[in-house]
Amino acid sequence: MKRLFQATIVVLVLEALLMVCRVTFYPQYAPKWFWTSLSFLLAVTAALVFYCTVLRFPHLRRAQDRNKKITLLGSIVFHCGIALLIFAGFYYTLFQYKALFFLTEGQTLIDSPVNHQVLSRGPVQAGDFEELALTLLEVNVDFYDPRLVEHLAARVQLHDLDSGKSRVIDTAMNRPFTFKSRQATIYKFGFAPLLVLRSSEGELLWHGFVNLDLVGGRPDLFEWPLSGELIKVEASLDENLELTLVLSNQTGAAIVVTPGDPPVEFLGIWLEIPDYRYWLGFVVTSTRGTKLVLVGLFVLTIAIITRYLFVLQKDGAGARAGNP
Amino acid sequence: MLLAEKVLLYLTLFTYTLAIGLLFFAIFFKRESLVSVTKKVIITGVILNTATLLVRTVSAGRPPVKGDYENALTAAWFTMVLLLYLGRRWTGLWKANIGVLPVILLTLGWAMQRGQPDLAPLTPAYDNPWLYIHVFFAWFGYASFLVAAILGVVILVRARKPEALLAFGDVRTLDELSHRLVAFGFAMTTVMIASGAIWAKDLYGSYWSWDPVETWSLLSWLVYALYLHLRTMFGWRGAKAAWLAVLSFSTVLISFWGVNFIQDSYHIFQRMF
Repeated sequence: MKRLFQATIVVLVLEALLMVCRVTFYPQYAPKWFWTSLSFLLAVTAALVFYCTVLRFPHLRRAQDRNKKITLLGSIVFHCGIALLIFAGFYYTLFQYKALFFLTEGQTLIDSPVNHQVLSRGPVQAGDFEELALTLLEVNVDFYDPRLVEHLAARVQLHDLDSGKSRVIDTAMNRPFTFKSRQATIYKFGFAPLLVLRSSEGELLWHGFVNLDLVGGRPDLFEWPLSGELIKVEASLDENLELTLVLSNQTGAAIVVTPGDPPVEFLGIWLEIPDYRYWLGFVVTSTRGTKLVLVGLFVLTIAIITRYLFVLQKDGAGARAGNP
Repeated sequence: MLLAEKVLLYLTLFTYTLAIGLLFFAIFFKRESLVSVTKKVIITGVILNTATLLVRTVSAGRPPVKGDYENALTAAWFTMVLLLYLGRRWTGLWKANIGVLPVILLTLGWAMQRGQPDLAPLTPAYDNPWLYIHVFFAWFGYASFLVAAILGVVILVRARKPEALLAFGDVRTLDELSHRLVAFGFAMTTVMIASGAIWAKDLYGSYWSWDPVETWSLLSWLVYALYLHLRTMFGWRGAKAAWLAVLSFSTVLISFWGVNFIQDSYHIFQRMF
């Protein structure tokens, strides 16, 4: 038994060292060997924890004292919860689908990996992507002051292309919505000014929304629709929450545009921004394995109440009673 | 910051500083008569700390969970309330304030120097009930680990000089108390991590992202799990366990303060525009 605990401790120490490695050397990225080692160690931990838990059952049967029985039971449930949680984590990661999905107010897109910026994708995704269209009906943003958003909510319409049925969903940051076997949560928002480009003769050359990511007051870049040249945009809201955009290119040409203003000349073209809308960034994830994770967390919580809080509060014997 | 809050805050700081001075004389010059006065001063300090938190909560219209200043103020309150509760049963624990109060004052001073955030509302990223569960359990967990580490220091001093710091009580009681605090803190931290994971699923779409703050929290959880197992399975007691309690607290410090030195963390809820 002691050997088994020694092995568990060695594995835990190795895991801790790997984690230090992670936060010290690979905060953004970690090589494959790192994830392989960590996954291996976590699997060994789950197996050892589960085996150690099984070994405690005879002690539970032998225990005479009620408090000791409760403490042991709590301890067993707690360790089962950890093993279950590690297993749930593997299952969740194995079948994980994670992608970013961007929608501008009024825009409709088919929910499919083609329209997603896929971040990770598990091996089995059969039947995940049936024909479904998402429309961002409206975005409600309340500003506390020009630099602070107080409330962010949106109304999304889901249209099932197979059945022809539609439903409207109210969502917000921290209030994800689910559809099919996926969950979508708002993680980002930005301004989408409507750019109208005309020649000096008044001929319409291009028009469309440009999604700008101006989080934290940082500038953003976008490709000039006619030439592909990179244009820097800085945005600010004044006290009346009126939006002003400053556009500049690499040669230093710059203009200040306010939505609704008359056209201004920029790079030999007449530019007008009649209006702007909001765009939202959604994180789309698979819901596979989420119930298993929640069960694991629930089991842990129940175990804590039994193992620590109940017995420790009753007579303070819990600290020692857990030792088989 | 409202004037009332400012006055209450400085009164809290003054009272806590006074308590340190009184405890210093009580412990090192063996003036036991000062202990009862110190208790009253500390209780006054906690009342003032509570009043500061209440004024902040009412004026901001939300619980004080945003930014370094509010977190330090709340952390101080949780730690002191825990110590007051425990001090009723284990009288020697009153003297642990000599170690706890300087940490609280340093944390508050550091947070105040970084500037008090305005009374702005919480951003949409915070708009989740799991936030309060996460923060509540985090403070109780961290407060328990802090007190356990201070007791660990006392045990280590006593291991080298058995005649020193006798006012804290006998080493066995301190050792058992330190163990119970770690066990309690471990339970609290487990709930903190679990509730944080559930909140993260709502906010970022995944339970776990191996974010540096998450990783450090898991690391400190693992280290304290190690403490509990070494104690219960391998019989670590006294100085050995105390060393572990003190060293383990360094992981908590990194989880708490480390976030300020990490630029890319999900735990930095930037303003959105």
